[in-house]
Amino acid sequence: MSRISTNQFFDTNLYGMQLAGTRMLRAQSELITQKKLQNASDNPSGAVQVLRTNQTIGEYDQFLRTITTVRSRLEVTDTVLGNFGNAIIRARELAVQMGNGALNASARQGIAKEAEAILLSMQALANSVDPDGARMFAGFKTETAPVAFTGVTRNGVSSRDWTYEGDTEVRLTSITEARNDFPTTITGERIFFSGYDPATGAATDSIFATMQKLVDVGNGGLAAGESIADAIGDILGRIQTFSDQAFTARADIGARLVEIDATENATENSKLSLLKLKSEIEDVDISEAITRFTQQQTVLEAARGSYARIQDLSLFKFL
Amino acid sequence: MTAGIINSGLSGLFSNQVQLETAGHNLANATVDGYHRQRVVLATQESLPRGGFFVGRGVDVQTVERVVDRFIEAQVQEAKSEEAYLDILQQQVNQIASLLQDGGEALTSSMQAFFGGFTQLAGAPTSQPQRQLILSTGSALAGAFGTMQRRLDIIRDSLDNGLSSAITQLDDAATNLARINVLIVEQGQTSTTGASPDLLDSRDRLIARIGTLINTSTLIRSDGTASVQIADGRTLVEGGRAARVSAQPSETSPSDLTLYLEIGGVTTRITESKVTRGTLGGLFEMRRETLEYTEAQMGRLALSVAAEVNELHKSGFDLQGDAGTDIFLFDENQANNTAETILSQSGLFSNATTYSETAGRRVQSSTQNEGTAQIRYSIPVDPIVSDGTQLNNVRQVTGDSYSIVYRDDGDGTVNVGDFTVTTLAAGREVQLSAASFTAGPGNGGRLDFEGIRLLIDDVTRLQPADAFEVRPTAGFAGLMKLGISDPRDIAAAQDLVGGAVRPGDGRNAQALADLQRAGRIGSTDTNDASTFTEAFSEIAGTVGVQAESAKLRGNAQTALVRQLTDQQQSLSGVNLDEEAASLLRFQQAYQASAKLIAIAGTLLQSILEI
Repeated sequence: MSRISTNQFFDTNLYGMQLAGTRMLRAQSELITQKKLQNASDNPSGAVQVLRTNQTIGEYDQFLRTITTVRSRLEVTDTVLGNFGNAIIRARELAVQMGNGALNASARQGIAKEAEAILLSMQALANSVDPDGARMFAGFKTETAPVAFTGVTRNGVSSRDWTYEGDTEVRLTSITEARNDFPTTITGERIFFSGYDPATGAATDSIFATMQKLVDVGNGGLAAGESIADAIGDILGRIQTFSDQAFTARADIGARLVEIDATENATENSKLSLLKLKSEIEDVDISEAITRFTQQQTVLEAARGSYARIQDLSLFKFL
Repeated sequence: MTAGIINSGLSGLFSNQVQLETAGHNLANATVDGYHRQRVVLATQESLPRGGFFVGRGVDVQTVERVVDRFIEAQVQEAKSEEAYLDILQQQVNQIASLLQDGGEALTSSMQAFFGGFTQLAGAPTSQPQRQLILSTGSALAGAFGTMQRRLDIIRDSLDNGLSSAITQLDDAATNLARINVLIVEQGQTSTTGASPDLLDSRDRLIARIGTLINTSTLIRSDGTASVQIADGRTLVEGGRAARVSAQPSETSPSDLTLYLEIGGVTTRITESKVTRGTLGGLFEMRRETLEYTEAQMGRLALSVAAEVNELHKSGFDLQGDAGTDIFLFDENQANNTAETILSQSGLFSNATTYSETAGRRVQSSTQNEGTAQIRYSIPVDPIVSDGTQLNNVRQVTGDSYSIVYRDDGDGTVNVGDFTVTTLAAGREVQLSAASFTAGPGNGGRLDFEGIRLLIDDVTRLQPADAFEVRPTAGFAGLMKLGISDPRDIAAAQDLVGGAVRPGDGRNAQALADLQRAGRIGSTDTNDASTFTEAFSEIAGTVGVQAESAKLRGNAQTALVRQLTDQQQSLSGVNLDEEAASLLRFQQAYQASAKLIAIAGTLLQSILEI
């Protein structure tokens, strides 16, 4: 029979109570914080995984914020291009009207007035600013109105020369780790102009020059030897070209919006699965923790009960 | 005849009285820590011949001794020494692990906010609010690094306090043990059975106390005195003499406190790596493996973030069309953008021709050096090409700390063969090539390795075995600050057109935003390298594993200590019931002996009455 000293009785009991108490406190603190990871030493690889997951979630959040900004910018661009398309449709109608041989000069002048109004509204659309106050079709020259004119006299009437003042730079951003060249802008020179030479800054033609010609024709400014029918035929052909360009640009923006929606979905999904992973690592399993808490409570009560009995046992009581 | 009976009775009375006193002593000391129960050793007195036979004469008390098993005692002491080491290690490493976990949240989120700000700025390069945001998030990022370093400083302070206090306790215990040794010898001279059990308990308590502070090897001499050797085998206590121990600045790294031992007027340093147990073992290990590691690696991370952001920022142009400047600086940064540019700090010089006094934790000269050469170091931001080899670049900085030893290889000139560079933590020898050493300017010399440029002011003043320690990135996290204050100075644009930036050019801002996801640390190959946040996770992970390991080892050790203490107590602890039974037994025996004397008296009376 092994000998037991009195200190051992007390120590063993005390140790048992302390152990149960510590475990109970641990379960309690897990329940209060809702986290099973309390210290890095509990599960270092888990803690690092949580840290990394948090970092990746932070990056995804950044991408999602970028996506929101970019989408609103593209949607504004889409609206502007939509309005521009409407203006072109009206411009074509006016050109067809102008070509009606039954019209007299004053009737053509009336049409020219509307055509000029449409021309100026087209310029305003091409010079639109985005929510940040940047000229959306000016490339990097966001503080310069990209479409400008200078007044001239042509074929005996007061006319305008139209120029592109922006550049050809498209602004790019990262919307995922891999897609770091997503274009967020479209430059005016490829929508409104044709034959643009970045070196000289000159273009061979533009929707504005086309519309200007329509206005000039209405005001009687025909080139030498040109009939109204010829002029209108030329104008209608050029309107079609720029209508196609504007349509292509809008389709491009639409495709980007589709990409950005798909990217947003994918990013949201990845973020969700990361949140789930993180939760699996660090979040407490409530029913398990409550069971553990109750279990340790029972152990603690038993330890206290047995301590009370044991400390009551002494030979001295019987002497 | 009656004389024999009285004698037996008296011896019984006396021995039982001693038994009762001893039982009482045991009862009184039952809960005293380190008390071993005592027992009376009895021997039957030699019987006397009477005619043809022998008659017994009673009992003799030989001695009162401790019930003790030396073997178990030594095991318990050793286990407790290891437990004390693991306890303090666990407690201290946990502090840093929690710091990295809690402070890490702040650091990584401010890093994300800072780089995220560049993404927003790329979308609106001229936006003043977005530019201002970069400045405030940049300042918050430098602040998060700074906060972490300040908390590490606080941990270092408390560690120094812990070291001083443990060393004072060790000194006290050693002095007391020497005093007890003297008493043991004195008592041994006046008694036939050596020193008292209680004095031996005092001796063993002090031995155990010393064991919880440092690793020891103890020998109990035949006269009962204890001889204690510590750590690297040097004697702490021998007979009545105790060496004085003190906490003093280390000679190789004077800003660290370490353990010194003075014997016979000569003070020598105890090699820290030989202190493997007890509180001191835990504190030294934590400082060496965890605190120094964390300080150096956090410093390296701060350095990398600053250097990479600055490099990219300088390649762009701000709103005024000026090239970007350093976004982050370290205090006393020298901003001249030459090959010699360094991220400098207090006490270090900014270029190879200017020298200043060596000071601080990052560069230390051994106090044992016979030569008077001074060294400094710099971390060149731009690559230095020498003999066609690219020697230095911030990306080569490992975050290790180095010991540099000069040894004359006897070839008549100072060159790379005269230096040995090893890392302080792992003792890895750094490979140096002939191109690593450049002579000049003047009598000076430069040693380039792992992104560090070491500058020696005068190689002719080096003596063999001169040693230096360099902790290139230690504490850098605490020095980081913002280098620009005007939001317009942020270089968001990538190029100039016609001498001006275009307001929509946010390409450099986008490149800076993408830097967050680029591998920049741990390898010069960007595919193998870690991102900033990954590098931070690696630091937190390493310290987390250290904390877990200390915890698991600590738990196992506590169980072992419990088991051994149980064995020890089972043998040497007092059982109150047992003593109660003894009280009854010896009380009855005492009464019986008294009765014997009474009977002897009656017998004598009977004879006298005849």
